[in-house]
Amino acid sequence: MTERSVSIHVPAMTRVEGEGSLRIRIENDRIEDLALDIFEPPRYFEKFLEGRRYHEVLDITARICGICPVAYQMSAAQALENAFGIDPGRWVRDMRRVFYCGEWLQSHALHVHLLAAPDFLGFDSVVGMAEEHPQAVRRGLRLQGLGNELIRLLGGRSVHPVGARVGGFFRAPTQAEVDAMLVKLRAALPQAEELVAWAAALPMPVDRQEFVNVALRHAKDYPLAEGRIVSDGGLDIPIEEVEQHFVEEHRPQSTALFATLHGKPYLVGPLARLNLNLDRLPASSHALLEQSHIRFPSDNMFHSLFARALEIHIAIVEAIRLLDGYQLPERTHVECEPHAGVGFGATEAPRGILWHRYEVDDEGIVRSARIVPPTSQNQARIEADLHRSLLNFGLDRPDEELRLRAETVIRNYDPCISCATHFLKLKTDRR
Amino acid sequence: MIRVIGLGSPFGDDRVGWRVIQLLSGRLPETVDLVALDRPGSALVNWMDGVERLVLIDAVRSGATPGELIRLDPAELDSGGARLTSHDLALAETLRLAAALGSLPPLVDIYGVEIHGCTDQHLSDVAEVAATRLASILAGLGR
Repeated sequence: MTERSVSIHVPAMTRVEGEGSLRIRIENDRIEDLALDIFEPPRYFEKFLEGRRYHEVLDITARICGICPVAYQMSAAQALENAFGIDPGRWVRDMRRVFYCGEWLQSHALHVHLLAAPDFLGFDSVVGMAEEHPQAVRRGLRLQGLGNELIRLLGGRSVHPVGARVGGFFRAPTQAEVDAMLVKLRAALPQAEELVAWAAALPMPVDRQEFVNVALRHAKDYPLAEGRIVSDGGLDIPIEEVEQHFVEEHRPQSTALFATLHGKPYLVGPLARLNLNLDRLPASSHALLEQSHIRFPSDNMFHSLFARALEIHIAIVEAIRLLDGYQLPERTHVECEPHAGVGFGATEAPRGILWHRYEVDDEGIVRSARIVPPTSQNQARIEADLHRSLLNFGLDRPDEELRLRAETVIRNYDPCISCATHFLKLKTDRR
Repeated sequence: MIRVIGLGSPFGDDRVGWRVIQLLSGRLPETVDLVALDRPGSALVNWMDGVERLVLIDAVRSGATPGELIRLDPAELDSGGARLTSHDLALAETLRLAAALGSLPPLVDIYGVEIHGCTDQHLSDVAEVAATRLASILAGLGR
């Protein structure tokens, strides 16, 4: 066979949050080497946090990501409260869930409509898609805007919010603010229903894969701001035991860490959450799922987009449930008495489990911090997916088609790596 | 309707767009809507419906002298030379999206205020002077 060596640089995979590159070496129609290199900032933040006072942690970790600051704040707050042995109480827990619904709403709406949908409808960007599907794009922008408003209700502002603190919130929304928000949430519900039907009808590649799902599981609700960690392989542990089952390791080609569960890659994020929590759906979301032709649990990774759409509906339903009958609390937070200890926090960021561990001293000063973000947990899974997806797709296809398929596969995980604008540099080396 | 939007963040001179909105507040007819937005990204499109003339103000770093006012039109942003925001969709992409949706107002003016950086929490004197100058340029809007 003719030997050829091709090398391409694609500096503009724009519809992903972050920066990274993909290198593939193809020899005799086999993938000899495939490496996804992702630049990941939480590692540096772990060091920045050492020596800082506990009440600074939420402001610092919020800056790890401009898309999911609420997730970073909620995992950190839970971990520090765990270290100090305080329970913030029902009102705070409910409002945290509402706060988090806002983040799911804005992040998922952005990803579904503006980043991922163009892949499945055959457009290279949302601008092209907007001309033919203006209604869908407008719906995405409205839902994204609503998510930002919900974050502002409790966070004061939607980017790097400032309303949350260890122990609760700095202020409670007024009854008038909550009433106005409820009107908007109720008005958005039909849009979310429409979205779920639309997502179910999108042309999705059929690509069944074997993978382990990992997600939080809550005693009665769909997992969001608290829960145990479970898998479909029988894992069911409190979040304190993560380090006994999950390992993160460095690989030479990447600055990010690769996480494995009992030595194997695993999936976190919307599809894993839905697969593992079908019996925790609000009734109306469950009815929508039943109406779709898609059956869950699903082993088609591309059903992640549908899971995100359904989670938009869940977020709106849950926010309405928790804000309906809202009452001003006697106090918006519980005071902290710092003492030495170790605390753990885990919540479901839009992209999957975000796990924090802090060691603090008697003064409440952070001595060590460990942050395990969803994207590093999915990294090994993305590589495994790319490997088999590209093989299935056909390695003899032109580089441009391979690149587009690789981008679609990666984008499907909605990797959130940093606040840079470009993601993928693809280098294929054919021999 | 005329809508003036100051884009920014709470970090140092990046808030200069918000400062212009503050300075214009109470000085313009009621037909002019003043809005300060914190890095709206693509959600900026939601602020364009029913607007006949849109004025956008944002901090820029183009290499010009700090404090300089730079006037851009949307076509100029298409060249990719000037990216006014760093998150979500960039402003140029957002304006193209608005155009594709048929939401782009007939008249769009973009004012960039050259800033040095945003290391300090406070607005620098240079940015304050530039904001005051831009506010007086815009003070005739709607009349």
